[in-house]
Amino acid sequence: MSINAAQLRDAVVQQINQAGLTPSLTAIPIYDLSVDLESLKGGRIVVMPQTKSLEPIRRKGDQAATYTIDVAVQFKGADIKPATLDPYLSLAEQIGDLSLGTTLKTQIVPAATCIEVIWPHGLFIQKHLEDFRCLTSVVSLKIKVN
Amino acid sequence: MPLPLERAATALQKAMAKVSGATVIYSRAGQSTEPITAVRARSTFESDDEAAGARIEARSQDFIVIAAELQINNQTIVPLEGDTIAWTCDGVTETYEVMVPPYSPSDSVGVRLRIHTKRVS
Repeated sequence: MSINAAQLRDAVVQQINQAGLTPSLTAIPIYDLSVDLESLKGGRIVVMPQTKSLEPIRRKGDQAATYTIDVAVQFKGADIKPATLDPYLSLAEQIGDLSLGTTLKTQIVPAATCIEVIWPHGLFIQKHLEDFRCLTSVVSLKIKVN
Repeated sequence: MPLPLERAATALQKAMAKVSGATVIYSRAGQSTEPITAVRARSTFESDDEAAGARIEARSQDFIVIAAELQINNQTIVPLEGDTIAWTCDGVTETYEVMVPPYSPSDSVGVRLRIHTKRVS
């Protein structure tokens, strides 16, 4: 059974929302990556597929796919003190911990395993703190579909 | 006694306020000024295109105020990052947060300040 990027993204969304992470934010799938600063209060988790690579596993046809799914945690609070932002940085780390080594087994995705977790922009994007006084932490999940 | 240039700057602010002035409330850590008159100045749209996957867009708005009117508890203050300006128009309140750099002089004698903000709600 083959799957596509959107199905895998939706499986990641489902996994995050069912994990009971704190602070409690609902992950949503998106295509439009931009957000108004005005609507960031309260925070958000957005999930989007970024890359896909294929490799042959047999000479005749069979392929293994590896996807990168980005998960962004963003939060705009009343201030940028550690006590305010720490829970949301932790949330991004919880998502990484939750995903690594976990095999997604849902009705939409038969078997896909997160084999690597990285923070491609550092743990948070410094420029967003400087320019917008908000926290953005992007976690990239590398997921291999068996 | 104010210098001629200071009187001119104050007069200019009053004239600008008549044309494009707005009554705003300036706040810091739960404390606020009395309503003061600010002139809404430069407004731009900013976007961070570098952050793949999490781009933020914001409306920047400058407010020009008389520096001496920026008082909380009878103490004159200077704008700091994180302070807020509330502007109510037609019953709707918009909130702007002071961002870096918090302000710049709006004249050569320091009578008026240009406060740099972004709309946050």
